[in-house]
Amino acid sequence: MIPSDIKLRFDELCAGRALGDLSPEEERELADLCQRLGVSPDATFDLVAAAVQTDALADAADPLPGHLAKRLHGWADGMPAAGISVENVIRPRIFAWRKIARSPLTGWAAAAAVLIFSLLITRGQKPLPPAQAAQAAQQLRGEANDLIERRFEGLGAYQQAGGSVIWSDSQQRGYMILDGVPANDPRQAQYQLWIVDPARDTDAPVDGGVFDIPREATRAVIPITAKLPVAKPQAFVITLEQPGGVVKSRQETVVALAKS
Amino acid sequence: MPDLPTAADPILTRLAAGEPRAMNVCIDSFGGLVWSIVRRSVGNATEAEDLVQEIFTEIWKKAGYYDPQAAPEATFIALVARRRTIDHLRRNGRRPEHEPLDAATSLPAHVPPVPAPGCDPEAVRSSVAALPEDTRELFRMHFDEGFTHPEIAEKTGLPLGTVKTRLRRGLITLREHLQGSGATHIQPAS
Repeated sequence: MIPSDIKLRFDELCAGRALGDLSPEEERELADLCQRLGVSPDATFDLVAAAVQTDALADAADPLPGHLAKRLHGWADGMPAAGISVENVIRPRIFAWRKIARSPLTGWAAAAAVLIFSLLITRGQKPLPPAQAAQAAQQLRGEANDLIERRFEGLGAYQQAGGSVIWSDSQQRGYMILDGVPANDPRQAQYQLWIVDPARDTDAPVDGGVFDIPREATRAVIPITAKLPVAKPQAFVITLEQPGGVVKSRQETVVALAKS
Repeated sequence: MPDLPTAADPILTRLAAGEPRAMNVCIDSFGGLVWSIVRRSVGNATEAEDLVQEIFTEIWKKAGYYDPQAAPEATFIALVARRRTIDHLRRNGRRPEHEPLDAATSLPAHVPPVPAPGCDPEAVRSSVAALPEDTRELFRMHFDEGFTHPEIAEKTGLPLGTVKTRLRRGLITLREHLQGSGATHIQPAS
């Protein structure tokens, strides 16, 4: 439970952030607060500010200057289609992923939060350094009496991918220990983990975080950063997505699966 | 010629799906909105034009995040445009100077749990209308006219800290008014 005075201060700083009026000291205060609470800045204030400004400009928006419109159209004509270029598209029908945003717990607020976060943080999780990775995984094994461990199996063009995932419901922590997952260029595409949890009131998987595999990595240990509480994970799925990850995966490239 | 976007067939969804010329439609439909948001904060025309292109690049990358059931497309686009513009001003060190807030006196006494706000334009309008008149006027100067906080303080004669406090408090109140059913407002850090 967050004390009410901290909660109020958090809200005020997030409102200031959405208004663009945080002083450098307040920016530091908000960053410290987020770290202490283990949260991201509240993106719903950005959403409200955007809604107010959209309404304010509904009848007062200035037209795009002609020369700028021409420049933008020239740029648009030369751009590739959105999304990632996928050489080996596989569409395994593993789960019926319903629309994640329809879930009462993962609606626009989550989408906005992910969006804002991805605007600020362009890089995904990196593997832990080997010594730290071994220590972190061992520590979790020692602390959690409800640890589950599942083997990853590479799918489609990623047959060489493997490894395991460990997860503790009570700790809400876990790690992926990955072998043979190809390095990615974060400017082109990023890996994203999805956690399938039948205990939730929706079959939409929980976003487990975006991560990168560096070129030199043979084995990578990636901390899981579940965006929502996970109770009884049944499966862990790694997909390849556009930079920054997605709210809803189209499962166009499923890299690996670990299930009960 | 691609179809114009509609609520049932949003251009962002078409953009994310890689539909040819979808970005051109997006520019035609929302270029004025993006330009207006940027131009109200960025005085230099060349910088503003570059920033508009950056914003459309960001929209192209993030189109897949858009959920038509959560908010109008214009709100999503304004969100990206506002965030990018604020970041641009921060990077260039051109944010207005602010007086520190007295947290103890500037915050509302009670803040209920806050789920995701609804962003129906009618609800936004009526919620803004329900704000105190002095706050509404500050909102108008900030969102409609694009005045900086010091400019608002100068025009209204209010202390800078008061302007800041009222705008923040107004946004917090507005979010409470707009709250719908749904998500908790604190998201776990990635």
